[in-house]
Amino acid sequence: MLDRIHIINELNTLSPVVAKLPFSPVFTVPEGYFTQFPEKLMQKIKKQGDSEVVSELEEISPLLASLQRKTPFSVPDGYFSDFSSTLYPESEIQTAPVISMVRAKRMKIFYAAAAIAAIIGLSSLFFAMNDHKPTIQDQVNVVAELPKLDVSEMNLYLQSSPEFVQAEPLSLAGLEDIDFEGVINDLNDEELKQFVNENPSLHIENMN
Amino acid sequence: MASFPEDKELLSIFRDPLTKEKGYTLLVRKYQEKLYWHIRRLVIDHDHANDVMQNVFIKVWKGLDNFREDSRFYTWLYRIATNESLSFLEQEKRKASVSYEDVSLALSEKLAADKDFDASKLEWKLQVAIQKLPEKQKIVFSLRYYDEMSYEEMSRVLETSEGALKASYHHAVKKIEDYILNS
Repeated sequence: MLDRIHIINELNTLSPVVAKLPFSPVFTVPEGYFTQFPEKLMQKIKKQGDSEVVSELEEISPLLASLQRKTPFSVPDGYFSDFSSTLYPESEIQTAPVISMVRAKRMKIFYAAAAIAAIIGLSSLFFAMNDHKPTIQDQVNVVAELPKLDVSEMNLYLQSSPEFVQAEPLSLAGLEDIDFEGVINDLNDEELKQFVNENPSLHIENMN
Repeated sequence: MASFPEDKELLSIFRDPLTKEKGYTLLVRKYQEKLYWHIRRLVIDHDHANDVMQNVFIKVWKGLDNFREDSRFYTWLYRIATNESLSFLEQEKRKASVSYEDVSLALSEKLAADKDFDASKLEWKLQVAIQKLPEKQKIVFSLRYYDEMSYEEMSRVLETSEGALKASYHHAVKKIEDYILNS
């Protein structure tokens, strides 16, 4: 910054007319403006520094924004300083058991082996159950169904079931020894009529 | 006139979190009048000058933490004040959709509307003559004639070469002389 004399000397070389102009302020400012300006400015800066929440509230409700944002409740003396100790009293703090990671790893191996063994066992059982062979009961059922088959069906069945062909043929031995006449004589009329109806191919020669 | 700490001391007071507000208030008190008159001569109206002043010092508050001490604090403040004044005039032009000449005319009218205005007095004639200058010459003349700023400092404020500033000042003085002699 230069002094006034330097400026006037320079002006004298450029324009003596301008150099001689009165150097007095023409504008005025409101009284006390410079005294109050720093304080007003600081207030404005603090207001601008308030959070967006406050500005938003001022827009929505100037009444709410004008209220003191102070919670009216009180807490007992020393509440916050003692708070952490009330959460976990030392007497109640229990040490958690230490679990060996090595043991857990071994157990996992055992569990895996047991699971594999169980899968193998169950699979074997499943296949064993599905490997079905005809039982005596099945054979009896088949025998019961035989009379319903015609000749061609019977041949087809015997060809597809060789074990049945090799089996001992059903024997009629002994049937000739049955005293049919005696049996028939023991039947009453109704039973006899039913027998004849059920066995039309039987020819009874010696009926009295 | 009140005495204020040196800029370096003011900055260290400001940078201490415990004394930040105190440092800032001292800084405002030290420079407010100089900056106000610089702004007022450019925008003429007090209310406008007050608005610009507030914007300037708010920018100072926000930017002071990053201020590099290798540049002079005083020229930094003037640069902000000049730029803010020019931004304000630019906004006025846009609002009214008028040219700089129209704004200059409007400023002359504002000057004439001042309660103390007296067209016969030389000091008021000088103000009218200044308002008729092109924008850059107006700023250069104001900084040199009123703020007694060296061309070196002015080149830092306006980021213009000292030679160009000298030429601007020379042209400004001649135009003012011409107005005073012929009005």
